[in-house]
Amino acid sequence: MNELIRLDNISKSFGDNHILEGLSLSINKNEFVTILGPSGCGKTTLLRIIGGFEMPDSGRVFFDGKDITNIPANERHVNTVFQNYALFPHMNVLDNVAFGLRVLGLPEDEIGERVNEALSMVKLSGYEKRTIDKLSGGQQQRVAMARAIVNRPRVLLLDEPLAALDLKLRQEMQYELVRIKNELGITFLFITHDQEEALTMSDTVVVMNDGVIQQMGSPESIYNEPINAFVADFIGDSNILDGIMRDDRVIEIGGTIFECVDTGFAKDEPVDVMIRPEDIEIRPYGKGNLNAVITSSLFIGMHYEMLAESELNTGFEWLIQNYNSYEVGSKVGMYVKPENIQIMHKPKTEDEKALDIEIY
Amino acid sequence: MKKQGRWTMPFIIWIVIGTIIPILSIAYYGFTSSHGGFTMENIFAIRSPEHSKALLLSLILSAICTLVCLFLAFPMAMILRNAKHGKGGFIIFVFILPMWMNFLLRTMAWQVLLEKQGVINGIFEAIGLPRQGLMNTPAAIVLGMVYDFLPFMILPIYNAVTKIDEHFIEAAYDLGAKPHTIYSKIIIPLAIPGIISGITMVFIPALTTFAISNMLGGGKINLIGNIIEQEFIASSNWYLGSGLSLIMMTFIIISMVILQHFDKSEGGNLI
Repeated sequence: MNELIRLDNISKSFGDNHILEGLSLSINKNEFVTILGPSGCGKTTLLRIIGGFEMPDSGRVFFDGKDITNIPANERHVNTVFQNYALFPHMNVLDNVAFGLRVLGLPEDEIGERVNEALSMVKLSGYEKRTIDKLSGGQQQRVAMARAIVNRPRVLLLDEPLAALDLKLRQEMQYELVRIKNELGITFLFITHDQEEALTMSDTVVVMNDGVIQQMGSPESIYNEPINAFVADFIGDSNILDGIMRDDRVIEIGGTIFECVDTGFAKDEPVDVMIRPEDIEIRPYGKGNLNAVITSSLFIGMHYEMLAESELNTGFEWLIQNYNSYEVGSKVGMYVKPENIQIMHKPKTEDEKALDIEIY
Repeated sequence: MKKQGRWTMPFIIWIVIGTIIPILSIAYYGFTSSHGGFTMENIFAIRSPEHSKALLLSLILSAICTLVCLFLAFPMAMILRNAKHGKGGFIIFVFILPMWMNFLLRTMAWQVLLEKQGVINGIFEAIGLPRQGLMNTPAAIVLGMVYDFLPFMILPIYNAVTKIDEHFIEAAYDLGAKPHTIYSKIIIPLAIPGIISGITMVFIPALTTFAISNMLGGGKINLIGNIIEQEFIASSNWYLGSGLSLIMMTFIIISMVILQHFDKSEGGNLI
């Protein structure tokens, strides 16, 4: 068995507010799992249930096969890096990092060794005597990491630890986190609302919304084959359109027939269609699937981001990313390769947003 | 800078009138003999058995009062901290409500309760216990002090503990700490500034009080405050009264220096 944590049918409400509804999740050993979702989706509550700070109303938490639902946080082999770091302001770096080891009552020389090891892993050797308020945000973040990993937890829970850092530092820390995770060889459970973070670092991404897991899989599969319009919209830029499956491998979008690769849908079934803006090829007028007029063009660094409207006046504005710029008003043809059209079932009811999704 | 200077002027005048001039005049009287001329006699008068006994008793009673207030206020503040949002503020309000009444009136209420024919002895009698001499004891004075000064301990400690981020406690818990470790290593150290100002705000008025000891001690128990009061009012001996006041101020300064030492880690400044 490679499974380390299993959540079994977890529900949690605060008053009338249903945060988690029958959530089940399995996390493997040595996996970097990211839980991704908008704020209020229940991801932090999920983390707090694993950490032992909240009790689920129903459902069980298993750790290495044992039921730990009723085990308090201070007896779990899990450590947390908090969103605001929660470093003890009245202690220096050394005392912060040594806190968990001193609670265990280890001899001071062993504590010293392990603190050194942890600080060098986060590249803060020599900072032992610094007080917390003399550290930058990035350094505080590293101390929080060291304070957690020095206890050699089996799982490290990270609650949006990079949210307070500026872009450059955040990107740097993404690489650092992956390096530290590989050096430690433990499981990381990372919470974020930032899809880029999720895609960059994770082995597995769990997309959550409204207290329910929407999709779970590798970053590539989540990006390329989103299971519903929510996931497609949340991960990356996308064009999400209404379509009708006219036949196997034939989809009609806004009056235009496209070739696709999906089969097995009912004939004339209404579906959601996702097309990534970078997958739309711009061809000469009349040479694509449909003709369109460019209505806006912005240079955003790597590429141009353009909006285009179909000549059929469907009212939909296509988002297109291209390395070449096309002038506003120019008439172009748009072409999408069949494999780049992602067809998704429409949620039939509100409840069905809560699709129970089989993983792997 | 100039503009700021203008705004500080009223406060400077206040400090001069309210602090510097009184202290200088007490120092002048304290070091002057009744015939005029410099003397240390008023200061050394503390060595008389009557005076040193009163000072010692004052120090002991106010220390006990401070400790009792601390042991009542800290758990109270923690309970209020964990109280549901809004509830804590209401309970604090209820605790502070008696402060709206006149301080002498509140102390007088204790006279009525503690008297030989008073309410508490009535209850004792009703349950078959003999009537006790509750009044005019050091215990009655401490009770009165605690009752009067407890809010001054609760407020600063409550303020300090409510400011402790819940995440610190969760982080300690996450790192394996048991509740007693969380108290000794996280909550109490972070509440030190509040505890220090609570101690200061209770210990100093308790050390200097004469009204409470007058009313609940029946004139039989003299604290240093009573002696000083008598010198000023009854004996009209401003020189001796001032000399003893200077001694009392010295003890207050010593206690504040000691407290400040404990507060050093927090970078707070009391004097």
